[in-house]
Amino acid sequence: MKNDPLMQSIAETGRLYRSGTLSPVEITEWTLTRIEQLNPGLNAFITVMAEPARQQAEQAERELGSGLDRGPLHGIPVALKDLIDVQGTPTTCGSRIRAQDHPTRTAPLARRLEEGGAVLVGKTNMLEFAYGVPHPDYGQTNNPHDLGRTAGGSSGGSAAAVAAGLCFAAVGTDTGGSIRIPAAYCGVAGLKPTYGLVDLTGVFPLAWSLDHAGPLARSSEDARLLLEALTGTAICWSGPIDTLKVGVLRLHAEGPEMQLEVAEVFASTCHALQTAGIKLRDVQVPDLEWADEALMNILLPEASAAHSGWLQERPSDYAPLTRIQLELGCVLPAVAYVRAQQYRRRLVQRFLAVFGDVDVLISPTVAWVAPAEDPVIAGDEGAAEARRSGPHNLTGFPALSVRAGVGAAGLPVGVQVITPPGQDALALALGSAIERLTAGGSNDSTSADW
Amino acid sequence: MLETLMSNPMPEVTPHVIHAFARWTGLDLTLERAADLGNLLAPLLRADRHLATLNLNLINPVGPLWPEERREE
Repeated sequence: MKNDPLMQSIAETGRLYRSGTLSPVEITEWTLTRIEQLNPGLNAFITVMAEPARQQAEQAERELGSGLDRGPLHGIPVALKDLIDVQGTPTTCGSRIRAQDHPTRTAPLARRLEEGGAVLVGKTNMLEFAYGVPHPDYGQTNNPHDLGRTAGGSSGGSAAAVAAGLCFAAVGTDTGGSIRIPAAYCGVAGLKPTYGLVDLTGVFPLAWSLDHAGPLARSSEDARLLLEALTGTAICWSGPIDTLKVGVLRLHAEGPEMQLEVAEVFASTCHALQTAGIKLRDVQVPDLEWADEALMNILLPEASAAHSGWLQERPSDYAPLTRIQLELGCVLPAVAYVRAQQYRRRLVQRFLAVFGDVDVLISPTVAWVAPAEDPVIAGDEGAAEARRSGPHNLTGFPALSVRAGVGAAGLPVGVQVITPPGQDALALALGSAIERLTAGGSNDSTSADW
Repeated sequence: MLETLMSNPMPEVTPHVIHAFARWTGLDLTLERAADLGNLLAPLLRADRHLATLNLNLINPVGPLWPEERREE
């Protein structure tokens, strides 16, 4: 895998393009071939945009050859979660209800990628409406490290495609952990940026006040390049890393649901950071223990409001568990929603106070490695799965999952980096440091080696 | 008052109550589905009772999550 051109970094691929050693057309053809070979097992793509991708690759090749350079993503194969509109291509949202939807406009975030010269290879599989279960019409995305396990949700198709080399980077969305959980399960980097940083116009909502779009890639550096393209702004951290004060979010570093192998990888990561001279200290965030409940009391009614028309007209077209969650949100009292919105503003103040003492927080991303199936959001297991990611949807602060090691069965383990709002670049810089210091737990191979 | 609220057992949310609430939102549920929802709704209502003990009082539930100058840092 070391010399696999489809697994190298975006920067290296760009260098080879510009030196004439490699071409966007070659890379795109190899990518499409690999999708054809591996997607039947992974189920990572709902729509492969082969012909448009070829045209974009040819255009990139012509432009680079003529000296027109659109930047780091020029000629790079990228995928989009299938709730992001691209004109002329269905946006299914992983649902039967939207199976025939053909958007007439391209979402601004996708347009930015097109303007940056990216090659959009396809729309990736996801849990139905990003809401906790796969619809039987599409099925589960399988994990490249073990096809008998889930890639995670809801952006599982994006994470699996990146991990298996079916694209160099992908865009996902995250309402309670839907970028970071699959990133952790598949061993890639996934950033939920600062709330509002990436434009969500043309992205189908799950819960407006919690939704974020962001990058998944095989490294924090590649994720940074994608985030720059998505936002049109420089995302750059120029400060030192070894003088950072890092807080260990103690409540999330332990817990009854924590698997031993995850705890061990997290401890090794802390040790590696300390060995590099970075100061670590335990921190507590008051009232954090109520975050699971607050997240659900916001997410459920917002999602139900978005779906109220279809819920009345086409209820049987939803997967049964999606439908129950949508119905549940209809009967929750309004005061519970308002109180949860008040709580999250209290939580923001609590986190900002902690960030007066430390620069960055770290925790495990998820308490366990990839399970066989995704748990339902509105249940105890679903709450436990999102316990370490969901609070950062409530605050809106940047949170990045990076691969920090592997567990006993060779499955990846993610560590989460959280920073104050607007400091996405710092999260990515520390993520790069963790990847370097831990070597991601070794350069193991995925099932995509077959 | 909140301590009293927390210590008192809460009334059961019956399928008929859920059915009626759902109807008000335009959703027509069978009593069987309403009963299934009741099992899931009770933990959410209990959670809200916990949040009610945090004295959130006059915290504005809308608007920016953090002071805007933080975004500029």
